[in-house]
Amino acid sequence: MSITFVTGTSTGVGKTVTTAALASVLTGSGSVAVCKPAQTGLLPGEPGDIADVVRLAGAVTTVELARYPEPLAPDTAARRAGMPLLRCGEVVESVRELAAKHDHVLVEGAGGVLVRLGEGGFTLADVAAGVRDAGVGEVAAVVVVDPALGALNHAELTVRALRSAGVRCAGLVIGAWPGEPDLAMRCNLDDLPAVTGVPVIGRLPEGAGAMGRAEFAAEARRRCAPGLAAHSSRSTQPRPESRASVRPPVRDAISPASAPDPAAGTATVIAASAPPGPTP
Amino acid sequence: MLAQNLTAAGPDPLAWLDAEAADRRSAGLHRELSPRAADAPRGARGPIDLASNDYLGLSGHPEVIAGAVDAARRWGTGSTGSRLVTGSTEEHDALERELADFAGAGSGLIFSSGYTANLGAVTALAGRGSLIVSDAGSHASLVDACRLSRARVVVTPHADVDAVERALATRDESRALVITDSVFSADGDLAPLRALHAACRRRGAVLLVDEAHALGVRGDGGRGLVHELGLAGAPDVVVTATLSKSLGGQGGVVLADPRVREHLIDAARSFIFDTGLAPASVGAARAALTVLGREPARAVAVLDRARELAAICGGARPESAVVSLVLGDPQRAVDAARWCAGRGLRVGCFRPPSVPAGTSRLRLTARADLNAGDMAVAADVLGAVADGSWIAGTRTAGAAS
Repeated sequence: MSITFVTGTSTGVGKTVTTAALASVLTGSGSVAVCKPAQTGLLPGEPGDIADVVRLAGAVTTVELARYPEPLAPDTAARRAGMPLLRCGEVVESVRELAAKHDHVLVEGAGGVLVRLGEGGFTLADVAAGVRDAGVGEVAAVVVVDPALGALNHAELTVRALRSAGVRCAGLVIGAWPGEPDLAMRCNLDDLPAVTGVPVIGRLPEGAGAMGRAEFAAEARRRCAPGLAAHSSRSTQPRPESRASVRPPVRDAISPASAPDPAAGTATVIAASAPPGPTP
Repeated sequence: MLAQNLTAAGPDPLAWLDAEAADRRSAGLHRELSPRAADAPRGARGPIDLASNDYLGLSGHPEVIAGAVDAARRWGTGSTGSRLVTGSTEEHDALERELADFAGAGSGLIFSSGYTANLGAVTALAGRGSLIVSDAGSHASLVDACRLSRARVVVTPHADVDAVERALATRDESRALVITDSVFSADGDLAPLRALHAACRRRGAVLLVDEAHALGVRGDGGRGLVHELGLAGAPDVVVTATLSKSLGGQGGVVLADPRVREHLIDAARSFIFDTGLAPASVGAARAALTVLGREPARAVAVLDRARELAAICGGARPESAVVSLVLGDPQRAVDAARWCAGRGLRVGCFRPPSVPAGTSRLRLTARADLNAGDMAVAADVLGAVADGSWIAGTRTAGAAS
């Protein structure tokens, strides 16, 4: 049983496509439920992020708890629309229910990790901590990162925020890796594991959201499955290299301090050891 | 046109060049220079280099550049003469000792290039009345050296130690020189140096090994394959190498027993009648050697990167920095190289006669300073070439599937 919270360094960095990729991969090892606590910028009946996940990943249970018309932070959007604010407890309870009936639950946040989702200004980190305390399964977060200049700071801030909430960060995923990444992006992919202390466990190509389901599934398996396997096993040992993969592990031997990067291609998966637990 | 005012003359004496050029074009063997632009400024989309011989990424290393600049300021731009007259500086002397120490050789002698080092060493060690046994895959500079040497030359099949031994055993000449690359440039495979050396020992021959592609790549901290196999310093082994690949600069060196060095100074024509290597190049090589000595992990990294590139291409595990992605058809290889260039990856393209017919290929060279992001791009782009999906119009840009 795994419960994975998908958050991002900002809005529009590829959280939904990453959630879909994780869902697509995880359907290979059990039943999957996807929860989107707060969907903003849409009217009732319009297809939201959840619909995108279903279109890309197929048969998964989906739950959307609240929807607000304006594309704003959920609590702001709720107040402006005069609609009820979400409560942290109801989100935790909803995730708990899904966890009781499914092998894997994915929870997609709104915007970045400290975006306020509702009453009392609770955030996705609070929900994750609540679910963790409920003891229904292995709780971890995945941070979706925009690889462009600025990524290092945003990623480190996000991972630190999760850490201070006592939520384990399983890894980073590049939500949209362009066909021609610039120097900053290439260097960021190398530096992200070093500055955050967690591995890059996936790298989705730009435009993956426009793929058909079969192509997307294949892409997700190639781009995320190995990193995900490492995250769920929490192994700290390199696995034996599989001959099947055409994509090698990448690590920088010149600066041994840098973390391995299973994302840049990968048969051997090396999971970073779990970050330290909650700091009082 | 001034030319038309000249005295009327007979047929154009250069007309044959046009005929030859036309023949080369029709055979798909015409080549053109493509001058590189200076690397894009930081942050711009500069290409990732998988084509050069800058194996350790030292040609742009600030310390190596500073080594070149400092030497130029100190000694001037040129060495000003033959090494035997004014072209030897204390800088040359220091580099020769440092290279010999690094490679575990008895002595070193700097030439103006790897090419002239090979010409000088082979012609001085094998003159008229001696035998040269050369591997079929030997570098062009060794081939040319054989032609200039006036020795009897036997070319043996690639990496065929038995053929070498037979040639040595059946010779009438008292002196014999066996020559081979240690890492062959087209395929990146290794010469059977141990067995070759044993054959040379049995038959009283000298083994000359060109370590151009092995220095900085093979052996402890990049000391070369000869060193790796425990043959460094053997009096009957002569090593030639270049300062232009792993060391990021320019120039060549012969690493050998001090008696060999003494002989080359007196007898190697490409040493005697050539201007000494420019001081800036000497300074660069010294700085590169310093960096490599301090960061031996670079030599490990370049092989790691090569193995990762080979895994991407679905090829065999490489033993050097050279990785081939064989496509077969020359035009297809040219197209694939161009396709890669359009996606930010600079790759080499080898066609006949460099490689056997039907094995036209992308030739990739790994570099120690390729980072995870560079390798990610390589995985995307080369993965698509390897699985053929680069040709399909269905591919989304940049997504290897």
